[in-house]
Amino acid sequence: MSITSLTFFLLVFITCLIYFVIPQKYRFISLLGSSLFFLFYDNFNLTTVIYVLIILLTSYFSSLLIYKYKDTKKSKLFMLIGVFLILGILIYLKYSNFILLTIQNIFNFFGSNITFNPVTRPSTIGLSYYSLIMIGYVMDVYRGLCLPQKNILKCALFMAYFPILPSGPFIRYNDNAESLYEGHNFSFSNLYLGLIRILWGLFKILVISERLAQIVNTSFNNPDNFSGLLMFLGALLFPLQLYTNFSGSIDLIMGVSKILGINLPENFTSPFFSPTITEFWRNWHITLGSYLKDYIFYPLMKSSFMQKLGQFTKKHFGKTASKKITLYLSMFIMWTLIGIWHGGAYTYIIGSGILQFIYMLFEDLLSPVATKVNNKLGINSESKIYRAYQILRTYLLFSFAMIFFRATSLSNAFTIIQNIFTTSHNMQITSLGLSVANLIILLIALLILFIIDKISIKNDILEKIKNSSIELKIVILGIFILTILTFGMYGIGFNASDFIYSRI
Amino acid sequence: MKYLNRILIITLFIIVFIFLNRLVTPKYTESLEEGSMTNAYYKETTNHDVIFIGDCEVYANISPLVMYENYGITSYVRGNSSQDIWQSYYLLKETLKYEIPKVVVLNITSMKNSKPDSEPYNRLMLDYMRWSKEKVAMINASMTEEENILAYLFPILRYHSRITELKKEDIIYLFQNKITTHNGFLINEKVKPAGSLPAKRVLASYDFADSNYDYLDKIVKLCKENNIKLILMKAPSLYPYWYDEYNTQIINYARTNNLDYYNFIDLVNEIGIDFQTDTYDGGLHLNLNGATKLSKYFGNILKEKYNLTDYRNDDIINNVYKKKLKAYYEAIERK
Repeated sequence: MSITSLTFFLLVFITCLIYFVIPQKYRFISLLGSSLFFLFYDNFNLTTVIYVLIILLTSYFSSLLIYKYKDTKKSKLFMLIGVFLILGILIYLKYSNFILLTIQNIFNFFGSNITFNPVTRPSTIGLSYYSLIMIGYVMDVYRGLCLPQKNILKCALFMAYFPILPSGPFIRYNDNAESLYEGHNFSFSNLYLGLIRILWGLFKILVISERLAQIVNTSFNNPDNFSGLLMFLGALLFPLQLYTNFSGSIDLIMGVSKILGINLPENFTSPFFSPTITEFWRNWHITLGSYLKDYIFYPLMKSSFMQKLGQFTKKHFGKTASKKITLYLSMFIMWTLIGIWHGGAYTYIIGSGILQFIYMLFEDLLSPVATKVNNKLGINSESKIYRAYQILRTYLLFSFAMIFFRATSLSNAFTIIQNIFTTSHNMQITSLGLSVANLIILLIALLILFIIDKISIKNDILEKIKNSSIELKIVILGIFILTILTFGMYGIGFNASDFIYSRI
Repeated sequence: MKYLNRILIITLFIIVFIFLNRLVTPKYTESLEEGSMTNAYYKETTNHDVIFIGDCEVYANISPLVMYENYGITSYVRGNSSQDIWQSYYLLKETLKYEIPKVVVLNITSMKNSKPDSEPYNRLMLDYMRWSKEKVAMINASMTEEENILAYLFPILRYHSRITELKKEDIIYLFQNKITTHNGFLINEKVKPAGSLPAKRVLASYDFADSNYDYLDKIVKLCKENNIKLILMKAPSLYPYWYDEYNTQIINYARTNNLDYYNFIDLVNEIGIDFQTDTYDGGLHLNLNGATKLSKYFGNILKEKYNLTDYRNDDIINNVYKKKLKAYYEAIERK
């Protein structure tokens, strides 16, 4: 079920209706009902139900047992069983083909002609999200950060709260679970702010992202037909398409949750105004970054292997080098895992993993050099022009990496890069699939997006709207509705393309 | 005062919303004129003795003004592209809210189609139909899987992408549609002689769907209730094939229900239709020349057999039709 479909909004409407009518104590059950409906809407069969149940029961019982045997060795054992069972299911369902392909490639490299046929595994929407969320929950119980949930229905709701299944954000038990369970009262203020957030998301998706998708899909799907500036434009616009699609869906999800009175963590904070890749990732898919830091990066840094490596390198290369080596190795592992999480393909691993790591590595290594050069040349690194240069550089670097992310294969990515540097006689921008009128609409919409993003760096726009007069509120709502209805790309013959970040 | 402001703002948005809906809806004037046919009927100022209902085979083949000019019969064609039998039923129901004719002529080609299959044809028929319970019922009966009624209620949901393709006609005819037909007849003077036709295929089944018979029964019942003489007709055409098996079913149905049925395919020679000169698309539809011949022929039958009034002696009606005929011949002249 697409979150821009009529069915989804109907589900939200019915959920809200039931949620606010039934007694507060049972409201979480209505959310659970809707979540199960959403979870199995597209793929209901016994096998998927069994896998979902295994993940739920594993996390439920392992967390109870971890707590029961806390401060004993058994506690760690149950944590490891829980984590590896859930992880095993995730890997089996989502990464089997990737692992088989990798094995096949290794064998082929050594001259063997072994081939594996791709296998189709049953799955549900949001598998990548809810399995990692539950791993985090089991680890939190083990670390003593939260108590285990004794009510299995509540545990199920935390695992599969439906708005977050398609594209996140990642939630933490300590921060968000209570908000799902407590049963909020209806409030007009929440309804209004939720609607505004939903409409802002729809504006990003239907007015901007879908238009950008025309250009990006045309250029990326036909790399032989486009080169030079047009191919460059396609590559340059893909991050914007990704951002408007992904952050738009997050806005929509946050809006739906807001109406229900549930607050979720923000996943984006104007990432395209970041001067470095490191900062960019602090503002992009924030909950994934913080999840991986807490559950992979820090545990990895503290692991006995890293400790031993640290001691070894300290002995041979000195204290500073030792710190850097363990840091970079942990970063490399974490970024490779981020790449793998995005999808079982080398293009994802390079685009959203290894290249991002390389950028950050060089940022860290070259930072002192850059400071020295700037000082020598008298460049004011605090000036607006220099900051603009940094933002542009970050955007270009990210765009380059995203060529791999968007490409269908590594060779396809290299063809696209090669074509960017090939002179083309076709300079007709409309050949990329958008008419002049649509290009103008796109430009205006992008301008609005950048202004809003820029303002929201230092201001809480929703808070300002909340405090505005009712007349202004009506005007804002009306303008949003009319703009989306008129300029959105939706409806018959035009289905909103699959969410790029939808994970199954 | 503060409530007044809020009401004013909301009203303003509603007006803009209505305006946008109207703006993006196709006006069907310079192209796809078939889309303005349903609407044109509402502009009629006088009643009609005969109503023709059916698909393109009525609006292309029957010219009510030729019938009037020759026999004084007042008639109107409520035809639409690919009008299905369930649409014919609801359109007839709607028509009977405005007037009760003496005769209804139903073209039965649509008995072949058993389920809704074209969203654009639905749109051509329904976009400018007035809202009524008949329209709602027709929408529900006609929608393809990908459609929903909201998009009929708010056309902007369907046509919003036209905002970047607006033409002059969208502004000119924003609030007032142009009438492009003449009592429902669409003039096409072009000639495309019939050539070789595709080979006749053997079909798995020639039986009309039960649901279609149900709608035909409803039409029969509706006409009986309103004391209207129902006539079935099959317009002359070479293609798509009107199989003997189809014809037999209609003959049997007409006999059972005591209806008159005219299969003009069998009467082509008698009418004088020449598919080398009287068709604009190689034998599927008649052109102006062919439609004039058929209208004269059929008009004579209607006049003689169904005892219709000759309104040429009625000053009020005649004045209206004089203007219509003038416009009709001017339109032919322009073409």
